Amino acid sequence: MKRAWRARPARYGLLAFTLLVFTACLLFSFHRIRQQHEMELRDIDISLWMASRAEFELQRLLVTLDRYAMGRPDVDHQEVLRRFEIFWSRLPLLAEGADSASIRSLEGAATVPQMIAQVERLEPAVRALRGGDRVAYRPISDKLQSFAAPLLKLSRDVKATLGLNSDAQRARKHGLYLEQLAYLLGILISGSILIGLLLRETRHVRRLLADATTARNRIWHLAHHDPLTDLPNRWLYNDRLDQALRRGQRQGEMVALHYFDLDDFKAVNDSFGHLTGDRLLAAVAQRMRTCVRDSDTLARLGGDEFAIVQSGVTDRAGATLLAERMLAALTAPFSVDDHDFHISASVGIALYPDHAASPEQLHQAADQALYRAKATGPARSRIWEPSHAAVMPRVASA
Amino acid sequence: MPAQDRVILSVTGAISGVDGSGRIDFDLNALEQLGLTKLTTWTPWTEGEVEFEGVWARRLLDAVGARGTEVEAHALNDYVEVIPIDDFHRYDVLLAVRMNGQLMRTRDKGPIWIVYPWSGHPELDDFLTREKSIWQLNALHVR
Repeated sequence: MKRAWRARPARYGLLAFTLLVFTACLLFSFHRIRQQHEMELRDIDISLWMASRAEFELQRLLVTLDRYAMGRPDVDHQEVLRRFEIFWSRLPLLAEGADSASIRSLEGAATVPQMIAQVERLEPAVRALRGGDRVAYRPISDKLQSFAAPLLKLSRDVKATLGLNSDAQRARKHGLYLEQLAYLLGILISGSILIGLLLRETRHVRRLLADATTARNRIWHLAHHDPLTDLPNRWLYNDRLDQALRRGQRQGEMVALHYFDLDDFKAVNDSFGHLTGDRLLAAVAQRMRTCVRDSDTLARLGGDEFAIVQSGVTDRAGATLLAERMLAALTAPFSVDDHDFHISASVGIALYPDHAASPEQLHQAADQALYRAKATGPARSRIWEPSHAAVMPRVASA
Repeated sequence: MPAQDRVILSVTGAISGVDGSGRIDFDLNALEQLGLTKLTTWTPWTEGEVEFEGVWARRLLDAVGARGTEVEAHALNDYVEVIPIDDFHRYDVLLAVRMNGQLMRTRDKGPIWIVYPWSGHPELDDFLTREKSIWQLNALHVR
């Protein structure tokens, strides 16, 4: 019993731990899948932005240069240099750093370092350019124009290769993401069902064990009690008497054994039948039960014979008092099957260790005392005396 | 100190200013007078760890007596982005003027690059911080 009680918290702890790990893993997976999805989208967005922005700044530079070469007063040399530098600054972004990794993996990105080198070589010419100088402008413009196609191709390659070319591709990527989430949901559902089943099984097993314990207790009770009165039977009585004597010996206390025999009970059976006799016995047992302490054992030894093992007795008077109380309790009539029965009993009392040294001797002494009580009239109690040993053993109850 | 050299940064908006004009211009020298600091970090656009040098963003805003909750950051390339001032108190955000000891020209993302301390702050590795990491910065409007 104690082991089972101890094992339970450990088992629940393990179950709780498993649940915790399961939930944590699920949440973590969900988080990672979402993170990965967002990173993929972010990577695409960043790459696309980088590539198209370079192309955009090139176009702005070309427009500014064109207007400057036309001699337009709203564009000065500072503005040209600013646009040139801004375009320049966009190129290393396609060739350096973690965010350009996807772009660098594209075939068209190989031209970027060459472009940077060419821009560097163009710088003196751009610095030397004066407003309205169409001749000096032409080669600069041609060189810059030659960057447009590769940059445009890079933007297109980013879309095509990284999967943003069409709504269909974007949808497919989203579909894959949803698919991963669905798998995760599958794990969540099946895992929850498994845990639910486990809990149910555990409860079922526990109920079976409880049932088995109840059944075992019931069988033990049936084997050790009298079915009619539900009092301890002779086997349990012997056991309790042994225990009481051992305890009495150990603690130096007296034990009284009372033998009860109902007076003239045979007449009831003969006149009213065994069924009524049995009911009367059950009623008598019920009333006798109210007169003894829980620590005493009231047993039915068979027929109309009862015994009480009374422990913790301090003197003869204590034993006699219980017997007299019992006899007094029986004087009130019993109402069974519409008949009133007046019942009395005879009691023989033997004391351990004064009258006997063993259970067998104690039985014998109580039996002898009962015999004397029967002989002297109904509703009498007698404590054993040495003289009782001389009389003939009892032949049969009257 | 008013700018004498080429202006690289103009600060406007909710600031106390020096002359009540509501605008303070900084040349490189004026900016550096606020106190130079170094920040070594990786960025998504550079290779490996890079040493930046410049002025803490919060120090500049303190110097101009900024009374707002966010700044509108303008770049030479017409890029505009709104940055919560809280960012500058939460992180050591640098208004960088030098990268690996060299002044940044426009082609190198100069004259000023807003650099977040990416190293040691993995949470900054997101799209929003990239947007706020403005290079070629030339104007701040406090609001």
